Amino acid sequence: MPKKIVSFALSEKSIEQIDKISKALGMNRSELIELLVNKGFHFSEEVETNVNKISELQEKTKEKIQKRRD
Amino acid sequence: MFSEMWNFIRANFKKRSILYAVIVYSLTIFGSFPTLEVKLAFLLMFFAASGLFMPIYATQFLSKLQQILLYRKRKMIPIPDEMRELAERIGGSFKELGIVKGYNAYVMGKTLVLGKETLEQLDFNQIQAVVAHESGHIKEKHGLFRFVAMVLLLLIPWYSWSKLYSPIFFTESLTQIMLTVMVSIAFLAYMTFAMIPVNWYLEIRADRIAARFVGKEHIRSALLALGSSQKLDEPSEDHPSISERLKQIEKLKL
Repeated sequence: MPKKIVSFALSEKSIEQIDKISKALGMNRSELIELLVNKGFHFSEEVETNVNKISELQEKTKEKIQKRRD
Repeated sequence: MFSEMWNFIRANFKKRSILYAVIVYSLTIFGSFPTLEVKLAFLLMFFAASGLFMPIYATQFLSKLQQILLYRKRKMIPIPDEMRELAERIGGSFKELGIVKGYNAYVMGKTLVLGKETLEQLDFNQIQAVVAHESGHIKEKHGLFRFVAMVLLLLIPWYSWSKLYSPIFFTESLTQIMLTVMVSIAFLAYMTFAMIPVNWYLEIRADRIAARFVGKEHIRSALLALGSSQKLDEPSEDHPSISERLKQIEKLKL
């Protein structure tokens, strides 16, 4: 399938917004926590519940992006 | 030619130590020997050694600066239960856990900073060994110990170099500037050299604490895993060689 490069410009406000949302979702932090959980560490229930929720959200987002691509 | 010489010295701890000693002694002899010819010979020796020392010092300084910059960019995550319990048992609890990229592990105030690569590379017990080592630094307040040692060690050159005298080069003010620069360089070399035994002693103490709480085998395997990319026999100004640390852990009676 031939691929196309699409470029688009975002305003600074949009970039800030995206940055805020990704930080609020704690994408990077949740990955780090998952890494430690996989190594055998345990966190308080609250943290683990939140991480699970974030993982679910990530999965859903990935699925949505995949669907849009298809 | 200069870069070749620098690479040769940078890669070898013994040669770096000789360089520090040459700088300190050449300034002392230059400032205290009465004969002009001897003074000039040691002045030349001082500047030649300083030319090699300054890039080495700059590299070490940048590495410290990198620690601070990484600390500012750290990703804070909650402290896992096992790490918290271990630190509490040791008596060196930390308040925060920060993750950075591109560094093994260090303590900044009451924050434990772990490298992402370290977490990926090590298993549960090895990570706990690293945490125990860093908690050992917190428990025994090694940061404060280092600072006090530094101040005390500074008193020696402060006293002995206050009596240096130099012939006048061109003008008095130029000579004054030159002497200030020389003494500053020699101070840096002296402190780097004088702090080596202090740094090594504190690292060995932290290793011993870790070995007591997580077991010799885990601290040993963590050291070997983290040191796999470097020479085991090569020490640095901050840490003894991995082989020496392993030897010291082996000697420990639990």
